[in-house]
Amino acid sequence: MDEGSLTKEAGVEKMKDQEIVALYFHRSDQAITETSRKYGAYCRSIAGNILQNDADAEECVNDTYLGAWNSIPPNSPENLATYLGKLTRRISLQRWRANRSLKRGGGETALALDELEECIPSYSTVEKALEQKELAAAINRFVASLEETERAVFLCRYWYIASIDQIAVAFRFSSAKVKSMLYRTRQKLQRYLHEEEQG
Amino acid sequence: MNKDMLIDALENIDSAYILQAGKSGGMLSETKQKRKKKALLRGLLIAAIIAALLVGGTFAAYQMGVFDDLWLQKPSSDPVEVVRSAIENQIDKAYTISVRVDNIYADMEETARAAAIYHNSEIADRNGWSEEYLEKHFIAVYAAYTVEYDHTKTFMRDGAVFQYFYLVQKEDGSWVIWDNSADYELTVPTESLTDKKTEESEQEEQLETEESRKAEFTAAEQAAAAAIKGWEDFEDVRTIQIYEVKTDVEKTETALTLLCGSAFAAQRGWTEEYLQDHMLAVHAIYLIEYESLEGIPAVPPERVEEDYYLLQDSSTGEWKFSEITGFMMEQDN
Repeated sequence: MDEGSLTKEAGVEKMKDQEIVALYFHRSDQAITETSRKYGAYCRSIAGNILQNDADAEECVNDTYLGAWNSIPPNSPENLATYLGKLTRRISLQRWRANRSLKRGGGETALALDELEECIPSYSTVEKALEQKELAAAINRFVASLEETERAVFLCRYWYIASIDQIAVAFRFSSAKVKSMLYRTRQKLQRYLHEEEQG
Repeated sequence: MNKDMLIDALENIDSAYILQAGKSGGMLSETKQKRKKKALLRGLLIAAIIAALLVGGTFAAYQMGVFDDLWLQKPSSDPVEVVRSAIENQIDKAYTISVRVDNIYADMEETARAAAIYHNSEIADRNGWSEEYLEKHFIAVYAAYTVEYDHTKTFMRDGAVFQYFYLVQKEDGSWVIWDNSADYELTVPTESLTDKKTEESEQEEQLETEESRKAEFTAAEQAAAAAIKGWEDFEDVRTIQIYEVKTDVEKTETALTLLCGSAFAAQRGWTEEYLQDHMLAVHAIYLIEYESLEGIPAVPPERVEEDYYLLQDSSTGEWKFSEITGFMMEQDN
């Protein structure tokens, strides 16, 4: 897989997700080309938000393609976009944490993490803490309970690690309104997690 | 539990929600570039700002000294002198090179017109202004002046400026500027600026235009202020104190230039004529105080300065926040 295979070719019709997944199953290098063509910008957007560094983001996107290559098969994602998005996010967060330990981290990810810290119930203890799997399920239920716009704003911030200003532009809200919405949602999440812990 | 656990746990959100958020947030757009909103061009006094109207907590803004910063006014029992001092004291601002008052007088017609607008208004209610109070303790002063600014320090447009100043009288009898109107240079030809009495028919027409524009500015500003105040309904917002909401003609014109002929406007069926008649930019400054919720400390108060773009419903005349605000933020990037 040379670098050239990852470049975007303008004007070429994009394949359907299932066709791309089929290429992975056939172990065709074309799978990466098509993935890059269709989802390269999406993955770069996620990695860029998290890492705030183009070179690091590009590496993570390439690692995402490699991750997809290694995991399809056996996986056969129904939704290739979110499959790649989750891979990119996970890889980028790992890179961000490595950078942080080298004092190179920061930016939006640090801010988003600090904001999320508010959601952790103050009386939470290690013993009481929800297991990661339970936590994921609880957060999923919480997200499902949110009104559509509130959910989208929340996920843009904490899933896509988009900046407040990016979100304001995308949703045509003022940045103050975005901050306020996020604050309210975090408060709700904190209460929700507290209730979950209380069982 | 720690914050890393939370952000990791978010990875497993249902794909449908991730996709939905990605689409709404523009993450799935292939042409999307990482956006960083540039700091919006700010400044308490942007030159071509028109029709300042403090709405909601306006008198509080005066009390908090907003106008003390805006106008370095010297209280006096003569309202004309208060305005004169305020204009002349602009020379003390770091960005002012020179200022000269050309013409200044109390305008009773404008006083009556403005008082009629304020009478029974929300603003009057907030400030406890009865009709009688407005008759006795409210006055409009017209001023024509010429100012030169250092453009390395300010974006304000200089030259000949015409403005109305609205003053209220304090209990000790002194007058203070409560509000000021447009810089009317934009609607008055330069040649006529120093002689307001010439070409009466043209002047009448101009005044009608100005009146009409002022009314629209006021309506748009009130709508913007009401929308901002509406955010107080959020559970975590204790109060929103609006310092100022001003129509910004320069930004309106910039938006017109960018929108006219754009795909953004075309997709929405906005013609140049429609936008010229039904779009205005306002600059708002306000303070948000947050609420403590269930023992969780409130986040610190935040002073916000934003530009908002409003569109007027051509059938109802109602002004509303529009998606042009987002469009203009993108242009700033």
